[in-house]
This record gives sequence, C-alpha cells and structure tokens, in this order.
Amino acid sequence: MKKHILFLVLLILSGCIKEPTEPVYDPEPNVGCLLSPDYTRQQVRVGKSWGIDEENPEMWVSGAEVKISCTAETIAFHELPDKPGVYVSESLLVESGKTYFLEVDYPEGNKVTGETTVQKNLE
Amino acid sequence: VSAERERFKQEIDVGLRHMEFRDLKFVPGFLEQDLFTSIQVMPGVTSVSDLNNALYIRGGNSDENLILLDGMTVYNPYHAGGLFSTFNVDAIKSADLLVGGFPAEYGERLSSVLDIETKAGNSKKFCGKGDLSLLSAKILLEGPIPNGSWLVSARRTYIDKIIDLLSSEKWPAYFYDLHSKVNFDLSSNLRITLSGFFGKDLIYPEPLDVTNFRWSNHALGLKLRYIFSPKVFSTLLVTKSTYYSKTYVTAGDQLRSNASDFSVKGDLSYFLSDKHTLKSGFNLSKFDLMGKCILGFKSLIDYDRKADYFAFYVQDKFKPNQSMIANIGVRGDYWAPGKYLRMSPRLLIKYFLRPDLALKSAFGYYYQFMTVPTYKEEVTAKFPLRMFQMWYPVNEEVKPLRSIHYVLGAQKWLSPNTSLDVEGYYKHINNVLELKEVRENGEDIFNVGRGYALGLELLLKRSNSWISYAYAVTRRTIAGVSFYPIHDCRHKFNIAWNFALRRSWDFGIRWIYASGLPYTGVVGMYTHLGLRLDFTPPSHYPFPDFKYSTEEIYGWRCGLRYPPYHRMDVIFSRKFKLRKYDSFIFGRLQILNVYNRKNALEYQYQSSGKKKATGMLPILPSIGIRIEF
Repeated sequence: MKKHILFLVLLILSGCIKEPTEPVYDPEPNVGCLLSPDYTRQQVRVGKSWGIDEENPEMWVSGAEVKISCTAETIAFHELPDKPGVYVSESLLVESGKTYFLEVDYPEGNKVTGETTVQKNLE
Repeated sequence: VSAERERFKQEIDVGLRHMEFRDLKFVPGFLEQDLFTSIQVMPGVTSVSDLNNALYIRGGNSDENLILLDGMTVYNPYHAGGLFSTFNVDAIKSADLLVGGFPAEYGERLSSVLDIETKAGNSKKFCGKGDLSLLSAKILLEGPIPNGSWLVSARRTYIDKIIDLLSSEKWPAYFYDLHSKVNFDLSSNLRITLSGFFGKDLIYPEPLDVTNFRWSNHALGLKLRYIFSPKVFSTLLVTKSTYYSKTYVTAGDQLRSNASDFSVKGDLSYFLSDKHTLKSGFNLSKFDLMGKCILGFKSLIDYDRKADYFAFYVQDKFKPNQSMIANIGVRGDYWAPGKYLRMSPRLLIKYFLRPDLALKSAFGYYYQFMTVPTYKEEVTAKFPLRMFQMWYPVNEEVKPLRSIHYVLGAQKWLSPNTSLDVEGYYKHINNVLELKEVRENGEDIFNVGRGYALGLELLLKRSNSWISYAYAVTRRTIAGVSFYPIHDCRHKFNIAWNFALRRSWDFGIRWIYASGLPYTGVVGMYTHLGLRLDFTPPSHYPFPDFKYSTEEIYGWRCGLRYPPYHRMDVIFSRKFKLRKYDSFIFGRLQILNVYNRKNALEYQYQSSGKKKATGMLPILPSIGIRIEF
C-alpha cells in the first residue's frame, strides 16, 4: 500500500511543473494626432497605455516635447495647463498635399515619431 | 466472466474506452443523458466548457476525432451548436472510444476514433420506449421481421411547440434526430443491415428577422456481412453521409459549409491459425467539401472542392505464445488533390505478466486529409457555436496533417469485475492548420503549426462505474508562437459511480475536478483616439474633436489559466412496474452542479481594468420520465 501511495505522490508532484506567468506589463507610449486644414488650432494627445492591475492609472503624459515639422519649418507644441497630455499649436498652418513629421520626446526618454501626408481637397 | 475480461484476454485494447448503453444512462447530462457528456468521464478526454460538448482527446483538436455511427462518418456531431451531441442515447448499443495507438484498420483522423453502434432491434417481440425530459420527447420502437429485426428512434425538442400553444411568443430554436436500423439474414451466412440517421437544427434568434442558423447531418449505410467459412468472413459497407450548414444574417453576411462523402468500405478477416489472424480492407471515398464566408459583402473564404480518397490496410494479430499478442499492420492512404500517398506503420503489443496483469504498448503513424481550421480557437470554442464547421481538404499547397503516437501502459484486474488501467503516451503532431488573423491577397489563408501532447492516465473501472485521473501536457507552435492550447488540462480527476440503493432505486454521482484551462488575458489598456464620425466640424472649427475609447492589450497567447473547474452532478432513478401492462415506468431526477460552483466561462474586462467572470452552468435540477413496454 505504501508503494502505491508513494507512486501517487510522485505522480502528483511530477504534475506540478512550473507554468510560465505573464511578465509585469510595461506601459507603451500612446500618441494621437489629427491634422486638418479646417482647424485653426492643431492638437496632439500624448499618453501611455497602462497595466490591467494598475489602480488610478496615468493615461496622459505631461512634460513631453512635441514638434511637428514640414519642409524646413518646425513648430513646437505647448501643453495646455489645465489639460495634461494635450499639446496644441496655433502656429502650424496645415495645408493639403503636404507631408508633416511628428516627433514626441517623453520625459522619461521614449521617443515617438510619425509622418502623414494631408489629403488633397476633394474636387 | 465479463465481456471486458474476455476482451482483456483476447485483444490488445490499447487506448480503448468501451461504454455500453447501461453505462451511458447513469451519467447525468445537461437536461438529459448525452453520449459526449458520458465520454468525458474517461481519462484523456477534455471539454473546454459546459456549453460546448466538443471532445479534445489526448491533446488533439476536436476535428481530429473520427466519429462513426454504424460505420458512417458524422461530420458535425452536435445539436444546439454543441450543447448536446447529435446521438440519441436510447438508440445506442455501445460506443468504443479509441484514444490513441489504434490499429491499421482505422485511419482518416489524428487523435481518436469514436465507433458508435446502434441497437440492432429486438428480434423476438415488438417493444418500445418513450422518454420525456425537459429538453426533448423521445420514442424508440423495435421489433422482429422474418429473419431479422428493425428499430426506429426519434427525438425532438418541444419547448417551441409548448410556447406556441401557450403564448404569442416564439421560441427561437429546435432540433430533431432520427435513427433507424433494419437487420435481415438472407441466409445463415449473409446478413444485410440498413442504417439511417438524420439530424437537423434550426435557430432563428429573431422570429421576424431573416437571420437564421440551420445545419443538418444525414447518413445512410448498407452493410453486408458474409461468412465464407468458419475461418473467413467479410463485411462490405456502402455509405453516403452529408453535413450541411447555412448561417444567414443578411445578404452581405453569410456562412455556408458542406461536407459529404460517398464511400465503399470492405474488410476481410481470416483466422489463419491459432497464432495468426489476418485482417485486411479498403476504403474508397469521394468527398465534396464546400465553404463560403461572406462578411460585409466581401468574400473571405470561398472554395468548393472534390477529393478522392483510397485507403487499404493489412494487419496480423499474432500470438507467438500464451504470454504475448501483437498486432502488426500497415495502412496506405491516397488523397487527391495533392496526390499524396502516405504509408502508416502500426504496432500494438500486449504482454501478460500474469493472467490478470498485462503490459501493453502501441506505436503508429496517423494522417488526416481534411480538417476544420479555426481562427484562434480560444475566441469561440467555449460557446455553443458548432453549427458551422468548415471542413477543408488538404491540397497541393497544404500538406496532410500527421501525428505519431507512442503508448505504454498496463492493465490489472483487481477483482472479477474491477480493473485498473494505466497508460502513458507521447504524441507528435505536424501540419495543423489555423485560419490567419488577416487574409492578405494572394497569400495562403492558413498558418501551419506543430505541437506535441504527453500524459499519463489512470482508469479504475468497476462494472459501470469509473474513477479516473489524467495528467496531460499539450503544446502548440503556430506562426512562430508557442503556447498551451485552450484544452491543455494539466490534471483531471473524475468519478462516475453508480449505486443500486434499493431494489427499485438507482443513484449515480459524478464529480469532476480539473486544472484551470488556459486563456489569453488582457494585460493592459490604452485610450484609442479616433475621429468622431458622427460630428462634422464647422469651417475653421478651432479644435479637432476626438472620440475616445478604451482598448484592450492582450498578453501571451493562452498565457493565463482560469481557476480550477469542479462540479458535482447526481441522478436518482426509480423504477415502477405496471404489472397489468407488463411495462415499466422510470422516473428520474438529476441535479447538475449540486453545490453551485461558479466555474469561469470567460472574463470580461471593464475599463477600470477589473475583470468579471461569467459563470458556466449554475445548479440545475431537471426531471424526466421513461416508459418501457
């Protein structure tokens, strides 16, 4: 009988293999920008993703450097004081058919870039 | 001596789980007894949800099981999208489940064979049964004919009819099935058997809407069994089996699939000597396989293919001495399109250490030429969505699925009616198909994967009661990602025990405890910035207006596990004799999930990040009554 019990214990222990567990989630940059000739003020939202277990996560990031350039011109965006993560500029005049480059430097060192060409007006 | 003990002496029953009708009726099922629910008490058999009875056997996918009903292939063995199997338990005589290492006479699937035999019909007198459960009404009639017998069994759900009668509302679903069989002995050497099966489901979620799901299985088979001499006999089986499914939502959203075969199968057995029994056979089939998937008027999948299949096998059951039995065989499969010819060696050995103790082992190659590829099975497999099964043939671009089985085990008879069966296995799987996430023009629509399964199973069987334990590891690698698939159940413990309480009372209990199954968890969230399409800004509006939504970020595929699953079901049955009519009435009460365990079906994540479990079946009592005359 003891042999049988020992066998069963060994069997159960052999089943306790180590399963992989999910690593701690590392937040990623999350940037949204919409350029349109229709707007007099352009806006970039700078944020980050958050782990599922985080309580009161910070979705938006303050203190980032946000720039949009087109040909030789580079426009720096400024953050609205009452809206963290919202960066705006009234100086950037968006024109149809032109290509714009976005550069966001996060305070902790991450850098996000992107580019888009604004559609030409529909005739 | 029981038939099982006799089989232990004579056969190499590697991976064989045999069930009789009397075994099936003592295992509680959802509203009524069900073949697939009963099979799940066997070690090596897993299901992923209370709401879907699809069987995953020794790490194989649910499409890797060959389901045979009197030799006819059944392609979609489910009612109500998977809540119930399509087989009426009353019509079943026995079911043999071969969970691995099966001999050369079986092919076509990688993981298992479920060989169901319907009752032959009473050859002595006319008799019948009527059964009423909360799910369905059933009737079975059987009787003799000159030199033979017949049987008809029908079942239909009736809730829709009751609601029709009592209110102006409509119940949105029903199903029915019909089994029939006629045996006729033309001579003492020749028996003819005609079998038929028909099952159909219809679901129409909104009675006034065009949306509906309908699917059906039907099969017809003619079997000739001829005894040439006491040493030579043969069978010839001609079958036609069809599965058809149509899901219609709108003209722009439709799913259709069809799988049918016309087959001629023959077997010849020759008792050459005390040491050798030769068996050989062939299978000639023509398949029609069709699948269409139209979403948003865009055709995502569209194929309509024919395939020819030819298989032959030869095997020798060899008894070199009193202590050993071997089954050495080879199977050849030919499949076109693709012109694949695959040879599968099979070897099964049983060695008797004592008259009541034997070691057994098996090895074999297994090929499969048609499959049901899914898109990330973990997304849908837990729900009753088995109405649509798209059987896809391998072809010039997609190679046959392949598996290699290694099995080693032992069986010991502890008493004249109690046996302990232990089996360990390793299985390597190649070329499994999965639908790609996004189809790109000109690209194959499948990802091809591989994997393995290993495990150890214990089965203690006493009459029609079982205790089983299974340890299993299943791993898949698809598109470069390795993961434990949703049916990877590390530990599973099962009790299905029956007691004759008093002369007329029976009591059955089933308890299952299983490790949590894998799922793909949400590890993070982000705010998605989109353009509000419902808002047109006026000219020179100062600010773009964003639409915010919280989106989920998924972690490793099947990287997390649900809490352990456990549940207890009981069934009470009481027999009353109606002496005046020479009949019996059986009343039954069954309670599923007696202690109302909330097993997790899935998690839903809220924007706050908290997850909420949706439960499977709660405590569920049901009653039924049966009349036998």
